[in-house]
This record gives sequence, structure tokens and C-alpha cells, in this order.
Amino acid sequence: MDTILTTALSSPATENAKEILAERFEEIMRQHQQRVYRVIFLLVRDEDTADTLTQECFLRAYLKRASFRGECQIETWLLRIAVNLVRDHSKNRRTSFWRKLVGLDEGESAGAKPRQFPAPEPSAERTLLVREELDAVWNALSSLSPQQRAIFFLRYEEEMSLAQIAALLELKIGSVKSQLARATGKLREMKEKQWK
Amino acid sequence: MEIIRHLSNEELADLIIQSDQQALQQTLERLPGWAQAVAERDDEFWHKQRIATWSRIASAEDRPERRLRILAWALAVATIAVSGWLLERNFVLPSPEVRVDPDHELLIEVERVVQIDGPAALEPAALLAEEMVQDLAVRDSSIRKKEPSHEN
Repeated sequence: MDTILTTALSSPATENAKEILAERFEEIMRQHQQRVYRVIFLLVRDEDTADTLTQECFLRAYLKRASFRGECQIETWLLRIAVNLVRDHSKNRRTSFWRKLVGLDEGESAGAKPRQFPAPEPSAERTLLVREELDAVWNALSSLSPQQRAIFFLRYEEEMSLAQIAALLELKIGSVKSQLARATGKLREMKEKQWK
Repeated sequence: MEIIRHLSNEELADLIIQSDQQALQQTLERLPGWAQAVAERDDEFWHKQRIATWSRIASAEDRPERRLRILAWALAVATIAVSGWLLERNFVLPSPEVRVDPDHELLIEVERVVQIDGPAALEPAALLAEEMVQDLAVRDSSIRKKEPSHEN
């Protein structure tokens, strides 16, 4: 199926092909938008930012469709774009921190508390507990780099293999392992403190 | 003799991950469920997201066309400006060259020499030269007056 999509995505020669392309791309969005959104959301912990970055991810995928050669699955390709977008977003946030510090930017103060996961619509007791648990995990991982956090969430939340993560982030498996070890170490540290 | 083998970084990372996974088993097992619960949105949200994405795609595709249009206009304006400047430059008439009459110059030179240190015997010749100069000047001015009529 990927090969059919790849062909349709990379050769919109006529008006008819354009329509086919739009249909195919809509299908791709329907199939993958939830996963892309979830990964971004877990990494940025902000609903609006996750929504905007998901849109940006599909926009980039559409514009760069010619560069997709079918060497990996469409989902891997989309998640790669998503993780890169999150990384760029984090960089921009860091520069905006300095801008705020020197008074060039208005908005939230530099020493603002880390954001928490917003309350999901069905506000049951269970989801509240889930939020607290996830907040605790996120706080434990907050001192890590965006890439280390991404590796952790891709491994344990998306249940991807180390080889898949390495392919997605274009890293060596050894590097993925060492970064994952650092992330799990941080989480373990936090848990052990809780238990004490 | 006991052989102590050092672990490579990768092997060490494997061991750490395994050990951490055991210690964090409960948390890690629940993580996918938590993530799905917290990122769950209704159908309307996904629908709106797709519409927003399509509108961004449409405006992004329109951007190069708009850029091309602006570039074409800029080129046209620049061409008009440059050609206007070139035309203006070509229409500026070159200043007319001053024609030098060698006879006239010679007479002036003779008169100058005569007036500076000419002997008294040459006074008539000087007068003659003066008359000739005046004559030439008159003729010259009459020629200049006639010239425009030729052009017409």
C-alpha cells in the first residue's frame, strides 16, 4: 500500500492526479494524525502547540512528498518530521527565554512553573490520576534533552523497537541505547525518591 | 587465570536499561494507556485539524505563485526604469565643438606681437591687421546669424 501511496504522492502530473493526491493525503492524515499528535503532545505537553505542530508536520510532509522514496514506512517518515519539529520548537523556546529575559519579548515570565498536561474532556477520577502520573514522569524527564525524551516516549509509550527509533531519528542503535539508559535512570531516580 | 572481560558501552547500556525496566515495570507498562488517555480527542477535533492543515497547504502552495507574480512585476518596473534612463541619456545633445579658424588665430597672434613690441614703422601694418580682424569678426557673426536659417 505504501508503494501505491508513494507513487501517487510523488507524481501529481494532471488535475486528476492532483485529486487523487488530495484523496490519498487525506487518507494518510486520517490514518496517522492521532499518533503524530500523541507523540508531539507528550513531548511538548501543550494542547495548542501539539495541534499546531501536527498541522505543520502534515504541511511539511505534503510539500516535501517528492523527497519520500519509500525507504521507510510513511508513519516513520511522519514521526521523523514530527520529532524534528519538536526539536526546532524547543530551540525556539530556549531563544525566546533569553528574549524574555532581556525584555525583548512579552508573555510568560522566565521563571514560570513547568506546564502541566491539560485536563482532558472526560474529567473522570481516572484521567485525573493518569494526568498526575504522566506529569510525574514528565517532570522526572524534564532535565533531559528533547531527543532523550523523544527516545523514551517512542520506546515505552509508542512501543517502538530500538532499531525503529534509530531509523526514525537517524542515529546508531548504540546512541539510542545510551540515551534511553539515561532517561530510564532519571525516572528510576525519581521513583526511588518517591518510595523513600 | 581468571579473564576479566570489560563490557562495551552498548552492553553496559543494555544492562542498565534491563535493570531500570524491571524496577519501573509497572510505570512503563501503564505508559501507553496513560498517553492514549491523555491525548484522546473527539472526532470534531481531528476533523478541524485536517481542515486547518488543508488551508495551510493551500496558502503554502499559493505562496510561490504570488512570489512569481511579484517578481514579474518588479522585473517589468525595473526594465521600464532602465530603458527610460537610457533613452534620456541618448537624447542629451553633445555640446557643439568650438571650431578654430587657423587664419583668424594667426591674425590675432600677429596683432598681439605687433601691439606688444612692434616698431613704429609697422604701425600701418598693425592698423591693417586690426581692420582685417574686425572685418573677419563681422563676417563671422553674419555667418552665425545665417546658420539657424539653414537648419530650418
